[in-house]
Amino acid sequence: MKKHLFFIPILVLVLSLQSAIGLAAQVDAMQVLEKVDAYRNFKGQSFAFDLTLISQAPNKDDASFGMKALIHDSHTSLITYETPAKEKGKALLMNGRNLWFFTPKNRKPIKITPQQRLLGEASNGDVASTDFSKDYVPTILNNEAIDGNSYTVLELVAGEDSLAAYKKLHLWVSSDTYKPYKAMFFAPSGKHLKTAYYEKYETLPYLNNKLQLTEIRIVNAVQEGKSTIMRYENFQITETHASDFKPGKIKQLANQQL
Amino acid sequence: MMIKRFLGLLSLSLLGCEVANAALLENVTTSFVLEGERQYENSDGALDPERSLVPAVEHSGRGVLKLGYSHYWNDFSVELRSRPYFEDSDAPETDLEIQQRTEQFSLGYAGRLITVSAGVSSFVEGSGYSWNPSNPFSDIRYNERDNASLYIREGDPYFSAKLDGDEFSFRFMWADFKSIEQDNRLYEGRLNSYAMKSHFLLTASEVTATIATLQQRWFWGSSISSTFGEQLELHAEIALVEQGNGVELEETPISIGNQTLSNYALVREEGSHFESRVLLGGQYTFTDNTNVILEYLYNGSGYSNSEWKALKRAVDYAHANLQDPALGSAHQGFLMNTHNTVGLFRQHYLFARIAFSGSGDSDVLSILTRLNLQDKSFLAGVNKVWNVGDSWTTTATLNGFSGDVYSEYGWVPYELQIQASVEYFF
Repeated sequence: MKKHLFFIPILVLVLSLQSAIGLAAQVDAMQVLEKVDAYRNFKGQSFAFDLTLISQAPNKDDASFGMKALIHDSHTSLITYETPAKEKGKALLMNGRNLWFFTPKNRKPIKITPQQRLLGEASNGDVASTDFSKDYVPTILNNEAIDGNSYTVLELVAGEDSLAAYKKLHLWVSSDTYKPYKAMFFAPSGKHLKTAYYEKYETLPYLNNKLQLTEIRIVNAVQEGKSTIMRYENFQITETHASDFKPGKIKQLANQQL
Repeated sequence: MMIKRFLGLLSLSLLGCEVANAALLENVTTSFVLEGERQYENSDGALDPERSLVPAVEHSGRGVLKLGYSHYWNDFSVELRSRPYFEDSDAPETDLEIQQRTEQFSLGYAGRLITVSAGVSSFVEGSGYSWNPSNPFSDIRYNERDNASLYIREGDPYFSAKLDGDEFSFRFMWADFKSIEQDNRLYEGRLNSYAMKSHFLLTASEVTATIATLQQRWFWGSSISSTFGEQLELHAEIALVEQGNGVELEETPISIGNQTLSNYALVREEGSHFESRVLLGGQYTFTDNTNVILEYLYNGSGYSNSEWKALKRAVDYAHANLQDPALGSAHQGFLMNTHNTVGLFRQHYLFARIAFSGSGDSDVLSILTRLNLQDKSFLAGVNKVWNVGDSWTTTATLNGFSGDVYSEYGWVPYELQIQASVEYFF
C-alpha cells in the first residue's frame, strides 16, 4: 500500500507540469493570435474602409459589388452598398448579435439572422469581425510546412458568451511573420463550411506604414466552384460612437462614410 | 394616343432622373419601374358575385419613378422620398392617371445625443415581418404583396425629438396621422396623435415600449426581438388599443308602409373599449442561406365567429335587396365598405414565407402564404427577382386567393393575379 502512495506526489507533479505546459502553450497561442489580428484591425480603434466583393460561381459571370464599411468594434459595424446602381442604398447594420438589413425599397430595417450572407460566400462576420483574439480561445495544434514555408496551425474555439460568428476554426499562421495564411471554418455540427485564403498584404504609407491584410478569398467547402474575393482599400482611422449604431440612425451613419 | 402619352411621360421621367443623377450624385437613389398585371376574376365570392361593386380589371399597367434623396450638412439633413407614377387599366371609364405620392420630405438635426426632425413621413417600425401591431402609426390593410413593409403611402405631417444613449433611446413624436383605412371612408379625418417611444438594445435583443394617444384614445404597444445563435431569431409584438375608430355592423329597422326592412351599415363605434393585437413569430436561416419566416397574428379588432355569422347574414340580405328603391344604394354602400375591409378583418391568421438563395433581396425566389385560421381561406404567392446586368432587375409575381364563397379570401374579387415588372436603377 505504502508503495502505491509513493506514486501520488509524482502523479500530482506530472499533472501540474502538464497543466502548466498547456497554459503556457495557450498563452503562446494567444500571443500568436494577437499578432495575427494586428494585420486585420487597428488595435481597438474604430476604422473605415472601401470593400470590393467579387462573387464567382460555375457557369456564371463574376459579380462585383462596391461597399463601404465602418467598424466601431468587432461586433458593431455598418456596411453600405455603393455599386452597382441597383444595390446602392442598401445597408447592413450589426450591433452585438442584432443584425438589420436596410433597402431603399423598404421603409424599415428588417431584422435578419447572422447566418444570412452579405454576398456570395462572405457573411457580415467575415468582413466586420476582425478580432479573433477577443472572440476565440486558441490552442496550437501543430506545425506544418506548405511550399517550403513553415506555419503554426491554431485551433480557435469560440469562448463562452462569445459573439463569434463561428464555433470553431483552424487557422494557419506563418511561423516567421505571423501573417494569417488560411482558415477553415466549421459549423457547430463540425461540418466544414468554407476556407478563407489571406492572399494579399499592403503597406499603408498614410497610416505609419502599417502592413495590412487587403485581400481574402473565401471558398465554399460545400458547393464546389463557388468563391468570393474580398478586396480592402482606403483604410481610415475614424471616431465613432456606440450610440450611433442603431437601426434608427442608419442613414445618418451611412452619411459619415461618404 | 394613349401610347403616345405614355411614351411622352416615360421620356420626361427618364430625363428627370438623368438631371437628378447628374446634379445630386452620391445622395440620390433613383429607379424607374414599369409593371403590368393580369388579373383573373373570382366570380364565386358571395360579396360581389355579379362584379357590380368592383369594376372588373383584367389588365393594368403603371410606371413609377422612385426618387430618393438625402443630403447632410454636418449635423443637418434633408430627406425626400417621392413616387410620381402613372397608371392605366382596362376598367370602364378610366383613363391614364398621373399621380404623385410623397412618402417623406423632412428636415432634421442630428447631434450626439439629440435628434430632431420635422416634415412629412410614414412610419414603418416593429419587429414583425408581415404586420406591426405595436406601431401606433401602422395600418391594418389588405395586402396581397410580399410583405407589409413594402407598401408605399403618403407621409403624414410629424415632429420628432429623440434622446440617444449607447443602449437606449427615448423618442417623443407628434403626427397628424391619417390611416389609409380612411380611404375606405370608415374613419373620419386625421388623428391628432402623440407618442412616447422607448427603445432598448441588448447584446442579442431589442425591446421597444410605446405609449400613444390617437385622437385622445390610448394605445400601448411593445415589441421584442431576440437572436439565438447564428440561425434563429424570435420576435413578438403586442398592443392594447382603445378602440374608438373601429367599425361594427349596425342593423337599423326601417318601416316603409306596413313593411319593415333592415338597413345594414358598417359604422364607427360610439363608445370605446380596449382590444388587443398580437404577433408572435420567428425566422430561421439554413446554412445554404434559405430563410423561413413564420408568424401568428391575432387581431382583436377583427370579427369573431358570431360577428362573422351576422356579417354573412347582412351581406346576403343586402344582395337580396340591392334593387330596393329606398335602400338599394345604402346596401351597395355597405357591401362596398365590407369589400374594402377584406384582409386582416378576422382574428386569427398564420403567415409563412420561405426565401431561397440570394443576398438581401437580390436573385431571391420567395413563396408566401397568409392563412385565415378561422375560415381556412388563404392567399398564396410566388415572387422571383432576376438581376440583369448591373442596372436592371426583373420581377415576376403570382398571387392566388382561395376560400369558399363565404370566406375572407373567397371574397377577394380575383382568384389569380400575375404581375411582371422591370426596374432600371440610375
